[in-house]
Amino acid sequence: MSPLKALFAGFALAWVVVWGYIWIVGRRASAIERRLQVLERASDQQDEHDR
Amino acid sequence: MSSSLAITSPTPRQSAEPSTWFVPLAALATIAGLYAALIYSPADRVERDVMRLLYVHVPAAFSMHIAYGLCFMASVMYLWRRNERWNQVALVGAEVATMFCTVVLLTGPVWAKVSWGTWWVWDARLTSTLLLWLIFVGYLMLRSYGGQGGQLRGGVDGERVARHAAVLAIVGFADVPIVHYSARWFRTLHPQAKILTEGSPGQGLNMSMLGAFSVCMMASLLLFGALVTTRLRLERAQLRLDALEIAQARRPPPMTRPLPRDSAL
Repeated sequence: MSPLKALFAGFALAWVVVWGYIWIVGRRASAIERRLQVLERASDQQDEHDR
Repeated sequence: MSSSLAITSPTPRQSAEPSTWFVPLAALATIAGLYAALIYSPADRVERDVMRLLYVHVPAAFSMHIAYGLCFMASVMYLWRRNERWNQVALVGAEVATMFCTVVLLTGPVWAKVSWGTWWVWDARLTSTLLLWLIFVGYLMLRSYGGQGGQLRGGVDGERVARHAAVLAIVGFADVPIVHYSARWFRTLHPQAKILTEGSPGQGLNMSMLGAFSVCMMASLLLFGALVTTRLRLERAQLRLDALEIAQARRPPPMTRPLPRDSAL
């Protein structure tokens, strides 16, 4: 493996790991946000119904 | 990703939180680090361009040590105080540390292939680092499949998992000093740390290389800060969600509620 190829491979692997982690965290955040919105809407509707 | 960022978007109360300014700072520092590592810094005379992997490998290892330290400290505090906040910090520290450890374990062999002529050797530094990674992957699996812990999520079982995970993190952290000093204690192919050696910082690097290394180190630390703070906010949102779900489950459905006394007549 030439030094330049190794450099490219090393940086690419590091990039994939860091961005992969950020992507996973982002997906988890959007799932939580969706669920929170659904629950908050349901909670508001129930409050209105109770009144 | 834009919708996912809404959860971390600043509300009036949250705008002063560190994650709001850590993220853009980390992004800018990462761009500066890439420029410094790939363009500004000269190539090494012996190792040539592959030596630039130093600017990723060493800062990632440094951040990994700090993140494992954070996980260790939070686990000790959780066992002492039994505060759910420390439990969250420990989980976030372990997750970020494992991410940095993965970067170290991937960039190292690529560098080794050119410098040593082999991808991997079972020497003390490499083996202890792989062991550390495996211990904390086990920790994350325990946290993931055994329940997240805390009163809200798993009740008594969840708290037991959190306690066991804290003990595992403390025991697993014993490997961190072994990783750090292994190149000094044992005969290894992996070179000893020359850049961050006590008494002679920057040994072996010229001024341009040292400048590039400092920028990359700063970028790595800012990335660590941004990931930890953002991930902690996500954990707090998860706790809010759990609390809402429990409140929703405890609420009696409208049809089964007892009717007011008057309506019985």
